[in-house]
Amino acid sequence: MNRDVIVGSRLNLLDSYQEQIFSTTVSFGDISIFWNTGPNVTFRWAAFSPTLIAAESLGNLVRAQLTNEPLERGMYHPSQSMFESIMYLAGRNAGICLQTILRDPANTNVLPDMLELLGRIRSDNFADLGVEVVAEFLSDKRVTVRDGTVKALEGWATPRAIALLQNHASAEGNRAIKDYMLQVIEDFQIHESLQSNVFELYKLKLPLRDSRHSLTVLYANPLPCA
Amino acid sequence: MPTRFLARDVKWRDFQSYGTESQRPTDWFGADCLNEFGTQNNSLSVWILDGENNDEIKAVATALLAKPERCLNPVEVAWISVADVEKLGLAVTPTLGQTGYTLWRKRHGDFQDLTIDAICEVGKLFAAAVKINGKVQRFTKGQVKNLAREAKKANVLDDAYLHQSVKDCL
Repeated sequence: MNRDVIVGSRLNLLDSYQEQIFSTTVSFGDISIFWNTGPNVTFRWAAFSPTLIAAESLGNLVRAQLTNEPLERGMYHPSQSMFESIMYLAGRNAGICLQTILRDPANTNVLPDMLELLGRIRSDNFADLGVEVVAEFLSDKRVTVRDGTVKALEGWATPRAIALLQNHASAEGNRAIKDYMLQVIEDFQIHESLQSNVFELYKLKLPLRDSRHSLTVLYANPLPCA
Repeated sequence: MPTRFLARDVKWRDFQSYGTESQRPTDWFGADCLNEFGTQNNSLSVWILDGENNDEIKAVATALLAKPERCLNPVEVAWISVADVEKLGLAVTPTLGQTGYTLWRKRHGDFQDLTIDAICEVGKLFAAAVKINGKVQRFTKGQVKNLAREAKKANVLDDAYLHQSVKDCL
């Protein structure tokens, strides 16, 4: 078994060998990738910083997957789990990783699909980070990219995501996207007011003198109507 | 007899042109439009509408949503007229739709034995519907949830066909 250690500057090697990666192992602070390099050299080993590896290698893999298998409406796509893995692999650097991937000119053609896929990551922790990462693409000159960004924000539908849409809706030049943005905002407002009404009704029905219920009322803090 | 239409789900953004779009004529349809038509066994699935009204379009969206592989995500529906299809010498064969929206299982059809020329012609019809004629409706996730809930309330939704994410919102 012939093993070489390759440093971060040789990241371009991953491009040519990305299809041959067969296992990824993660250790504390570092990521090691093993891949088959052909008949002469059986295995190589590389260790990079998590940020670089996630941005370069996973970005390439997501692009390859999206190119081979287009994102279908509403269907699960294997790249979803790749994006989810970035969160876990890159930890605090997840934002930088995602930004690097999304800004990479090589990913231009699949950028709208990447944005839409990000919106499918429903983790609350990720949503706020995601809003920051995709915000710049709401001003992109391509209609398709803006559409993908709105889909991502709709997927998260957090107050920050909706605030971002509200800020951009008036400036949006494409009628279809503008209508879509306004509908997403309206959905959010309806949802929030329904939530609020449920809590209000709940309050009215519960006798406050009952300590068990009054405790519930304390925690059932109505969400503000947007 | 009212005009009948054929509807299917589309990805709106695939019908938008890239780059120098402002300089292109309105009826410039990029090749990406054909991304929409992943035919299998040379067949293309459509839903048959009795008229061009909101209820029919909503029903198509519900039928599309109620599929086991379909997560809770926005739905975009485009429709073309049967008359335009017939002008091309094409016909739709009624088939049973694989959907949990029981009311609409029989409103499904397939273009069968499509040639590569025919799929391009059908693609052009859908592209014109989306880009020029505005015969497209986009349902947000919130709207899709409501459609599913309404169908459930009316007892016309078969849970066995639903993706877990759709079941969770009911």
